[in-house]
Amino acid sequence: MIEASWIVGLGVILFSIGLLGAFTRKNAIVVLMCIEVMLNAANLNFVAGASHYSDVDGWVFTAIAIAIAAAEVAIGLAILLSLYSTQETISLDEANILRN
Amino acid sequence: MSSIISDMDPATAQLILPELLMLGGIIAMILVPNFGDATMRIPLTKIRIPFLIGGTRFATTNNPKLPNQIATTTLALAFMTSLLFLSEEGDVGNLLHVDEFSRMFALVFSAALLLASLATTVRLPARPKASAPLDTDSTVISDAKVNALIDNRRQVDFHILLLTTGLGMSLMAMATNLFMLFVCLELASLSSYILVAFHKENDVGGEAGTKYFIVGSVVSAIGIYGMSLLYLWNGNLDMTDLAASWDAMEGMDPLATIGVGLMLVAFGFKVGAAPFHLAVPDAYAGASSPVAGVLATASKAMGFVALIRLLLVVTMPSEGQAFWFLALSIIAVVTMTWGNLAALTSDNPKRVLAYSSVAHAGYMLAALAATGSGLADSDTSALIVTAVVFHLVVLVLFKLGAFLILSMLEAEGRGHRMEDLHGMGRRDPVIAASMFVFMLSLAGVPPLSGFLSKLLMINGIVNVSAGSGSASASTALSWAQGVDPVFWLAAAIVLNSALSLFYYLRIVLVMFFESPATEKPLKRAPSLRMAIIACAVLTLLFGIGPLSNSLLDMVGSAVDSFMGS
Amino acid sequence: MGGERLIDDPLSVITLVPLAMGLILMILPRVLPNSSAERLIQVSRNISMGVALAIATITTMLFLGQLGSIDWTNITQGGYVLQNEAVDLIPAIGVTWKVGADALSFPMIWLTAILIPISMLVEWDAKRAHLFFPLLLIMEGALLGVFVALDLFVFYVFWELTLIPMFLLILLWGGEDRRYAAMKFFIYTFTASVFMLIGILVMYFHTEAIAGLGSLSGHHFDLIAMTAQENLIPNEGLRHFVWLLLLIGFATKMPSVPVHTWLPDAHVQAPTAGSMLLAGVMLKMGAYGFLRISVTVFPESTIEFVPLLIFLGMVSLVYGAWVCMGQTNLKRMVAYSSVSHMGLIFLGIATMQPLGIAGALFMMFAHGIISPLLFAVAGAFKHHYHTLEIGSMRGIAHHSPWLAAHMMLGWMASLGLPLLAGFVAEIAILIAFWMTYGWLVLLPALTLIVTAAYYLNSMQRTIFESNDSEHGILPDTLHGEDPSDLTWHENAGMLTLAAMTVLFGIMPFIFWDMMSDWSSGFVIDTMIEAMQAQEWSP
Repeated sequence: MIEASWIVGLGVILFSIGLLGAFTRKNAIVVLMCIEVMLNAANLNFVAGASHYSDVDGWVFTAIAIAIAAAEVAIGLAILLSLYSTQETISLDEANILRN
Repeated sequence: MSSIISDMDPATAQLILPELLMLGGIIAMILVPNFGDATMRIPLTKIRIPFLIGGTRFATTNNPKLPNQIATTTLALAFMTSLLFLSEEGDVGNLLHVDEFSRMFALVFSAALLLASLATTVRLPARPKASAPLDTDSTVISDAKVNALIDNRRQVDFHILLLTTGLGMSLMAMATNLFMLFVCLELASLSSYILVAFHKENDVGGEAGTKYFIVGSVVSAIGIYGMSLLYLWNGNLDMTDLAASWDAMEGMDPLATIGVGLMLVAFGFKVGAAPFHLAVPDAYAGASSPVAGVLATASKAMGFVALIRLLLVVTMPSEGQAFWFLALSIIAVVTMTWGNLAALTSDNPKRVLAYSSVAHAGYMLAALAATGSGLADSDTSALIVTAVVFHLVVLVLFKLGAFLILSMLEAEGRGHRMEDLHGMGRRDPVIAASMFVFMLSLAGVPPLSGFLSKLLMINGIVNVSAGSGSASASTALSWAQGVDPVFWLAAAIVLNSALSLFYYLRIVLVMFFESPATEKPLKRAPSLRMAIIACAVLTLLFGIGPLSNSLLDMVGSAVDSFMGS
Repeated sequence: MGGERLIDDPLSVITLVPLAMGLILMILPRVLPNSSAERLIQVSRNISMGVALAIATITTMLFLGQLGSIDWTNITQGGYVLQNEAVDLIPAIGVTWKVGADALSFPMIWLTAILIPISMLVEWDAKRAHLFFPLLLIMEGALLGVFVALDLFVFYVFWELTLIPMFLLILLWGGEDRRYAAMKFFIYTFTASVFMLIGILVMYFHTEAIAGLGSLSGHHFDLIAMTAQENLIPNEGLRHFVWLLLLIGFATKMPSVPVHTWLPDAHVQAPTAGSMLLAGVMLKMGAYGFLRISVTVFPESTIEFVPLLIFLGMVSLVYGAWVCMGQTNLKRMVAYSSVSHMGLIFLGIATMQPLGIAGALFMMFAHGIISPLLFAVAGAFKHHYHTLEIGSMRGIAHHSPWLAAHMMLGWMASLGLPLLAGFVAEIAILIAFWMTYGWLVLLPALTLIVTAAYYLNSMQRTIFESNDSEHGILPDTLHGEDPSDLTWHENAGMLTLAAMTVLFGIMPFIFWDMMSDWSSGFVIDTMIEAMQAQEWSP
């Protein structure tokens, strides 16, 4: 049995990677992936908590959070497609016609 | 834990009737436009019975206006049932608790979405007579025809998203569990991301949607992570339980503090607080005006419900200063000042409104911050929360009203530059007069409701700081030095309101003093026009007179039901 | 007293009826079907006039019936007549509908009620009459609201509300530069009133809840209770600060130098009726508010700032008179002379004596009938001579004897010639000023005398002198045609004003007694204690 704190530690690392990537990367798809990594870090925490407290809620939270993440990706990709169809780029830096 | 089935008795159904109605509306929206004359043969016989789904659609179900009608009816019904069952109170399962407070917000959400749905008839018109382009048509005509067909196709999508947004928001207002709260918040947020990107006529829609989506999902991922930390700390996410653990906590547990801090980031983005507000003006400017209006009112109200629950229920210490007091105060002041300064320099009316919405978030955050100063007694806290909720309620009237007017301009392909407002006073005096009312109310000029809410917020903050500042000081300066820091939140609101007058007045002045590019009056759009006028009249009536007092009473008792629990 | 009243709450009636009627007359034609809307538009001028006359009658009856017999010295601080039962507007934050009158407000109320029908009469042939006359009614309601309100919230609302009809009058019926003038008018007065609002709010936050008011907020806007509360703002520095904030609001409205620049522009561009009301009543709102709020609630601060008042008054008086001499545009001249007269009001208040304050009150009233007369004359010039540049004209008496007569009378009254209304006020203020400040009085007195001489001379030339006895020198705008004299309605309006000017010159005691009684009571009640506390002596 792995200690819960190890799982949480992994979560912290994942979260940091995700956060760092989300702020530094310009490609919207990569940012989307970073967001997924962050959500997975949260999921790990829920799992760790569930096993630590022997609480079934944590498992439920994880399942729902995964569903949310899936919905988010679906919506995100659709929106990115719409951006690509008008501006032919998915770089967050190049899409800047809204600046005034 | 009782089973879901046994919970669904009529009394419970009545508690969540508005939400059930919205759910029904969503299902109807999916089914009804597909109703046709398809029949089904009962096997082994020759009897054909109507099957409804499929076949050639009936004239009514084929009408592209139908989705809008369904959405409008559903939201109107939801609004009325919320109003009717305002004082009903009770638990639904163990995740939702319905009381006046959540009903009050359901009113706000359904009213905002109802107005947006009304405005869509002008902004995203359904054209029952649209036909496919002919080969003989010129490019212009053929483009127009194609656009009309596309508009018809989009009706269902748009209105279904309006309803899911509403459903998510109103469920969120009654959540007692932090996770439930977050899931509902995500339902509303994800719908609103698409709504922002829906504005496809020009290039900005996709970009606005992308920016709003990326920033929104990053902060919500941060929020969920923060929540997971809270779960690790406490073992469950029930808010009353969290509050009890928070109260019992000795010192500051890093897990809990970081968790709450990260969640504040997520909710701060929802209300448009600095420094997470940077996506707000882009999103508003890129979205169609009714959607921007929903973001500025309902979505903001949603963020504030979450903030109020997190700050006042979970993390409010029984005595002394809350750990977030200083941070929130600074954020509030920065937010309002930044919002106002940016609005001053902006030349796009939608951006001006977006920044003004940021500034308003700052005012409300300042008021909330004052409750955590450790000086507020329960009466003062109730006053402040009442003021904030009242502000969120009346904001639907004047902020969304202003966006509705912009959406009338947008319907003629304008509304993105200050010049588009020029000469509105001559083109359409009634609409210009309504805009005048909205701007003054946003600025907080008596006797409009915007003043009343701002006065109450300032009042709350001043009451918190009452008694500080030495009476014997001989100069204003020495008095100012003796006053409690909380007081400066009130001063910041007053100064910022004065600052904001400039850009609100600018909009008013260009409407009356500049010459319009065209003398043509705006589109007739009777239903939207009525809605705008109703908003303007209510803005006045909720500012002075018996109606304002009854609304205040209503909000006050809603807040009591929340603070008492 | 209650049993004799014909109407239970006359002050609310005279405020709300014109507001409601004006709104109805403006909105109904848009809502009704076409044929009846047409008919309504045709009679809306007559209906407006009827309402205005009815209100003038009610107000006059009030004066003759009840107010004349009141011993005003007994109406002490915070005492008002004709008070209504307070109606809760927003009890949660302590806003009530509470009205009342005293010798400070009643002359203003009567003046407003009289001036509205007169200005309607003068502009009887206005274009777009179905909007113009209802707008004047709304204006009347808003102005009366300012003078009767005893609740600072309501007071402020009416204060702002007066802006809208005046703004529209300038914008829709104004001269060529109307946009600029309307914008300047709006921005100046609006910005100033924001300062005032902040001042009012600080006062509000220092009030203590009284029974039934401010259940939610713990504060209230009731002016009477504010006055009664001992030491409303205990901190001296803050009190001075609030006093200054209020002063900014009131001084801009009066207007006093250096925030007077909106006035000439607004006057020149405004239609005649707008100018008449602007000069006649709206400027008085500043002085009224100053006396009603700043002086009444904060007498100590007022005494502290007396030098500032004298300075503002002197500068306004001298500067207004000086600039006035350089003008060739008739409306500008009257506008600057108004600035000058408003300076006198400040000087009157600064004396802190019953005589000076009564003089200031009478000046508010007298200027309220003289300046509308002059603006009516200016409007008639515009109408019949198509210009306001009167500097080059000579001998107009030959062509327009009535116009010339009214103009002469108006200027003489404005310059304070004896037996005309302006004289009483000026002499009272000057005497009081001399009693308090001694030889400092020379500056205002000399200014008045020099300008009087200058004007009488130049008016005499414009009106009578002529090398060519047949035609005089007429402006080019007439293109050689002979100008016509006043129309019947212009003349009727001006004759009424002229008659009032003479009446109150010969019999000033109609209002003077009430004003001086009230001033004595006011000084004794409000000032003396504060003066002693500050060991104030001039």
